[in-house]
Amino acid sequence: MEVDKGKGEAEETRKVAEADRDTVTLKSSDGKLFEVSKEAAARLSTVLAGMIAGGSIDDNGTDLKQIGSEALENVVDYCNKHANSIPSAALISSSISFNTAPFKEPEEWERKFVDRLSHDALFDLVEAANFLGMERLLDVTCHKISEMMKGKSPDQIREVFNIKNDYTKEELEEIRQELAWAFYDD
Amino acid sequence: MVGTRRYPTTSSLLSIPLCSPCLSEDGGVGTQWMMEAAGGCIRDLCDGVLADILARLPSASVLRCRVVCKSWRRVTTHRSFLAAHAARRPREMILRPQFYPKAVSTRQRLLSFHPCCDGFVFERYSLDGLLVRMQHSGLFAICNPTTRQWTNLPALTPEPCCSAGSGCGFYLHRSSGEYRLLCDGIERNEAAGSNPELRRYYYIIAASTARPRRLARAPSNPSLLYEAPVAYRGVLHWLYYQPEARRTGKMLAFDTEAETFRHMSQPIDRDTKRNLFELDGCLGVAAVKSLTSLDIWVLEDYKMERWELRHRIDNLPMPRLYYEREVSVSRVISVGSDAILIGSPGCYVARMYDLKEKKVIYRDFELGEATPTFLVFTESLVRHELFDSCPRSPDLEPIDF
Repeated sequence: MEVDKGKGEAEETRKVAEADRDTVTLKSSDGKLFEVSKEAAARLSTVLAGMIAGGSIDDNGTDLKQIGSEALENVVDYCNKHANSIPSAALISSSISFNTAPFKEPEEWERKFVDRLSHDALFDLVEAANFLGMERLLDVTCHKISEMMKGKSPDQIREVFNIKNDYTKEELEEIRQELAWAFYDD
Repeated sequence: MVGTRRYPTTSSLLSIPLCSPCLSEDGGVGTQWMMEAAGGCIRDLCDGVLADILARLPSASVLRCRVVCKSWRRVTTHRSFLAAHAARRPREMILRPQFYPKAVSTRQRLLSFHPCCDGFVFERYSLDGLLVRMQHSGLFAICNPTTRQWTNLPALTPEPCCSAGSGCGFYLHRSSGEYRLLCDGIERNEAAGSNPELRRYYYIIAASTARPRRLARAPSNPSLLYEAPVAYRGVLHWLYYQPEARRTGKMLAFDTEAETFRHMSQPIDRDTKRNLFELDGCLGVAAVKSLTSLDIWVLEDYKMERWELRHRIDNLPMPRLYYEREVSVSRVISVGSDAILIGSPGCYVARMYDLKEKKVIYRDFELGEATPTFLVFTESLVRHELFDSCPRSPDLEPIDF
């Protein structure tokens, strides 16, 4: 009886300690551990927010089997930078929203953050952001990739993104004719 | 080609983005991505993420992406993608060129254009990426400048009308998913014998029905031109340039689902110059008291028809006027939830005013050598059946994109 009671208390204490912690530990598919501010994680990721609220956060590292260590490092890096960033002057001055589009231009640090990534890292990060329900990070990474496509010919796009052309010559000619005008503009 | 009427559209459509000039959607933001081709595994992205990326591209880029590979074509032709892409397009305002032909520098974020030769033919309505213009009495051309599809709606003349008005409004009839045009026209009542009686009616013209449907008697006093109505909650509203609205001092409302008319209250007496616009999810009325002052009313409670004076703007700076001519009527449209563009159909500069900060953002917002139509346009690649179901009339002049 005594022992059981002691165990219960220990469990209680551990739970309290866990709740008090202001970071969560995330574990990548290849077993690396990363710590991230609980507040930032909950604010930036709907999936992590749900896990934190539902108590399914593991103190020894919450398994994120779908995300590799490099992508997870970038996710955590983004969360930490986001937590520390104060809205830039540019953002404040452009806060009058003239556009109906819900997208807000990336801030300077967000732009730099995605600019330094390799293609591989960028695509992995997009997937991680999508998986974790990180709306803003998804927005910023998708924006970056779309910027890489703008004004490019199909050939250039295939080259940049390493995509195989799976059309037959005839099919290609047909589509080109149908969309001829789109190739004269810009 | 001499004598060909040229229709301003997409690359040739003269419009300005309804946003601050420093933010533009394909605005040459430093895309200096010079990475070598190796490695990128964009093929592994799921369709949802790929669609999210491609929906951010300008329309012409999306069309070019269809050529890249089969899966990109599949993603970019999907209904949900087309809707998401259209929802992301910026709002633009269509401009009417003053001189012919003159390209406007793209640096000003104005697209180059081919103006129409006929000064009396111009875009009447803009809805969901579609533009409607009257070609001649009773014949309306409809086009999607983004997909470059065009046709005409069934003609109102010579049957059933002997003469037709220039259109009242264009709307989506939700339950049928059909785009329809409301227009007035005059019928000759032959039964009256040697002295035929002329009667004016409203008609509904739909692409799927060859003959326009007669709706109700229309005011017999000829109007100048029905103003383009403001759509709100599936109802079209006319405030000023509409014979009944003028006579009764009420606002005329047309329910686009039931296709019935009614009158609604409006905030000010009928002599004040005013125009209707949508402001931050409400109907708004700008009452122009003078060139330097105006009141903004908002229909706070639509059902109870309760108007509220929301903003009183005084001491607006005088705009630089077109040929220094006095601007007789000023008009207002919103450019977001908190800003309005104040201009005049005859003036190629406009003012932009921030309602929240209560200050002028641009005193002389340059529109190039063009005047504003106050028609708001957003690009859309959504395919509409009406272009397939409605054959072109031999009378329809070709639309040259």
